[in-house]
Amino acid sequence: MKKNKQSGMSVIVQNTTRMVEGLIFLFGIYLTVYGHLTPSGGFSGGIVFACVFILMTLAFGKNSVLKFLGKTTAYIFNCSAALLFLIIAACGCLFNGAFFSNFLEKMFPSANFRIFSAGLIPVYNIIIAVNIAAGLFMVFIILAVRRVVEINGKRRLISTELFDKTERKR
Amino acid sequence: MIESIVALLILFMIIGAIIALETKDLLSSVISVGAIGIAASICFLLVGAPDIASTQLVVEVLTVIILIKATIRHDLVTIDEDREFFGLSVTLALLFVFFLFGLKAFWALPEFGAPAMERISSAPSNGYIESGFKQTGSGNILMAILLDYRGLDTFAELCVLFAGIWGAFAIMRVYSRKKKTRSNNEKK
Repeated sequence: MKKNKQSGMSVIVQNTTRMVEGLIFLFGIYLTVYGHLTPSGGFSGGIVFACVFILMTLAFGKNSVLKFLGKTTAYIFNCSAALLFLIIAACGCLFNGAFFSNFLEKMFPSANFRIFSAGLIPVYNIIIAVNIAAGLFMVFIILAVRRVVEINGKRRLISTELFDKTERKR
Repeated sequence: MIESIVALLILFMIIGAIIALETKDLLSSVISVGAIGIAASICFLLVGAPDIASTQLVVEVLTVIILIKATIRHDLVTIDEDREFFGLSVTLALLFVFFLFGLKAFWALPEFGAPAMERISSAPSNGYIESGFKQTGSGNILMAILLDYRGLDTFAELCVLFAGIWGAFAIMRVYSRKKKTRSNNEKK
């Protein structure tokens, strides 16, 4: 990768993104953690998380984000969150005798408006947020990385992510 | 009466699914998938859920249009003859039957401003509102319904999203597995 080749958008957009991205991430955490108390939840929080990464990809170019959150990391997060959701739901069978039963709430009944209340609902919210964020970002990065290029007169779909890595090795 | 009609429709859907899997022609496969969806929509209507029936119908029509647009490039079937009288009359009769079902769906919808929870006192919505906070401890009643009372629905929703994302991932792959092994062998 050449250093003088500027990737991403202009300096104004990059500086504004640098200031704003932490605040947007904090807002996503707020939406997810307070999902059982205020009008929000795991779905909206996960979409906000994914939008932070999409904003960073658009502002700084794809290589800056792919360093710490690649396609492989995203799909490990996606699969493990879905599996964890199923495992916690199956734990209801063990502790309370029914699939998807809220066993934490049965053990520690809490009808107060605190963060640590409502048993398993905040846990489910966090898992859903991770799943949605990883999945949405995975779709975006796959669509951003692929290019259609003509090789020997044929139109081929290539991955610029792999292309960059091989270039660095050479 | 309703049970026998629903059983017939389910039989029709199973036959349609087998045809969609086994036929060699892509276009007829797509059309039989559409027929399955419309039969499912009629099933929902007979069971007493006109809102889900209309949603199913919209999704099915969009799916058939997108799939025909995607598959029409591979095998194109052209008709040179004029439109026959038999085909036209069958189309008109099917449109009339469809109109009758639409009318039934329209009458089955509850009156504006009178939801089911007010008409039927034993509806589950009343129970959620009365004892939702005490039973789950969640201040947001929406999350109590979404993740506690109807947790299985949310899990299925998550699975649908998961399958959709992996479908996109499979379509946008760069190399097929066979080609990769071949190129590796060539390198060796």
